[in-house]
Amino acid sequence: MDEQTLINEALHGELDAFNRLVLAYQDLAFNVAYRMLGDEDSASDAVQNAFISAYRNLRTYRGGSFKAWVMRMVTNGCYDELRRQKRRPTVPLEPINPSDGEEIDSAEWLAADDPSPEESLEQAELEHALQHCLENLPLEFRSVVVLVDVQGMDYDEVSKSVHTPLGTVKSRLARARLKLRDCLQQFQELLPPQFRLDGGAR
Amino acid sequence: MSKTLTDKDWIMISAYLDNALSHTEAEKIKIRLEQEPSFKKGFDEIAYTRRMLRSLPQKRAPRNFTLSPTKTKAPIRTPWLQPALKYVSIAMAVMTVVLFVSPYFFFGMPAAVSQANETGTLSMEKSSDDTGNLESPAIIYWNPILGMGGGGGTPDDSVTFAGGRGGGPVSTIPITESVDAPGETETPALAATPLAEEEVPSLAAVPPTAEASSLATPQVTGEASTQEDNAGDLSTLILGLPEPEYRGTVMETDQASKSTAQETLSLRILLVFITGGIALLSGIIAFILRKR
Repeated sequence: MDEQTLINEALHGELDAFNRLVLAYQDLAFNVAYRMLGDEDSASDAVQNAFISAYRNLRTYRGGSFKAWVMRMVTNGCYDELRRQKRRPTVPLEPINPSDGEEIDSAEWLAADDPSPEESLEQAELEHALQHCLENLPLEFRSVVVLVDVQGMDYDEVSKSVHTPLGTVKSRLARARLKLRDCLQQFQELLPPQFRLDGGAR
Repeated sequence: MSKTLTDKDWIMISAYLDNALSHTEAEKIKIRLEQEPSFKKGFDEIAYTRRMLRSLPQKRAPRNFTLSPTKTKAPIRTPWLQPALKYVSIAMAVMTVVLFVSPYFFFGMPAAVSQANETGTLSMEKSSDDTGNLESPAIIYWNPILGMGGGGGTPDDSVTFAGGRGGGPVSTIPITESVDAPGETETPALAATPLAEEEVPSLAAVPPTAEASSLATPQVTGEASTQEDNAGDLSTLILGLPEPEYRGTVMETDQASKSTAQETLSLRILLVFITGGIALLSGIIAFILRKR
């Protein structure tokens, strides 16, 4: 069943049809939210709220890229989540072991699933540096650079997603990349050689 | 070197990397990349940044975000409820405080209590008058001559020094002694002061006996002018003087007015509890709504 048919059924109140659309876009939506918010729990909340909002406001969808329309809901959900966090800042605690309900006091939960510890560490350092730089960007720049560079969306889709003219998207993207370049230069010494600007990554 | 590039240059480089330029614009960029090292360096830096961002791993959603029928129901929106309850709580709290402190603030003591006390005192006076009992409550005079310090007293009952409010001695004149055994009454030295005697007219509400009148009248008349002079100086009084128009009269009262005063007091306390309860309840609900 194609996307448009699912949308039409969802418009007639078919929740199952809408849920199939959710399954198709949830990974993309979660990635965008995670890169914008930097926290899995907050990203999950934002995505769930975005899909609820999308279902309730499905009649405002006027055709075109459904992906861009969903991403618009997600970015709006991220803005709401960031505003909520600003109003009520919280301090994250260490994760709780679901088996016994006690806090995990070792750093074991930090370990990734990658086979090589060195690669995992390098990847983690790179990701940490990038995420840190992303979070230091202004929100309107962050949403654009995440959608274009992290998710690979084209300018038109991003323009519709963030409800901003195409020229503004181009401008924001260029300025965001410049800011990220400046930020990443602070991490050059910490990054693995192949990820350095003067190293093998070029 | 990258400082030489303008904002437009950066936008063009960025768009060139994303293949978002027209063919003509792309050709111009290619030429500049070959001819301008600073332009080439800026291009490399932005390309590197873009490549780093694209190297970020894609995460899988930790769970399915599919919706259930309960999730899709629109919540009942009452955005006005929490602020309304908050203001109601504040208003009720203020009203509670006002109701609680207003009698003290405006009258010095709860009006109803004051009225009840006054009623009780007058009833006692009337009762004494009816039975012909000559015993009257001792009148305590504040003696400003001896000034501050106070405390203690003489063994003699007729002269007592009392403390309180850092004050000086006071004289107590038991009326019954002056009536029954005038010769035994030791006229205190303090009684010679005009202020000690000017309180006598306050006893006018109690009709004296013939003997008492013969003893008390000269003092009253003799010091009448002094009393009038000091009538406005209420700071020297402890028990207080009646208003001039009430002096020498017996004030009638009844149980009904007393019960009315008690009812007023009860009503005020009830209002304090009601407004306080509403303030507390609405405050708690507003707090819960805000936390949701």
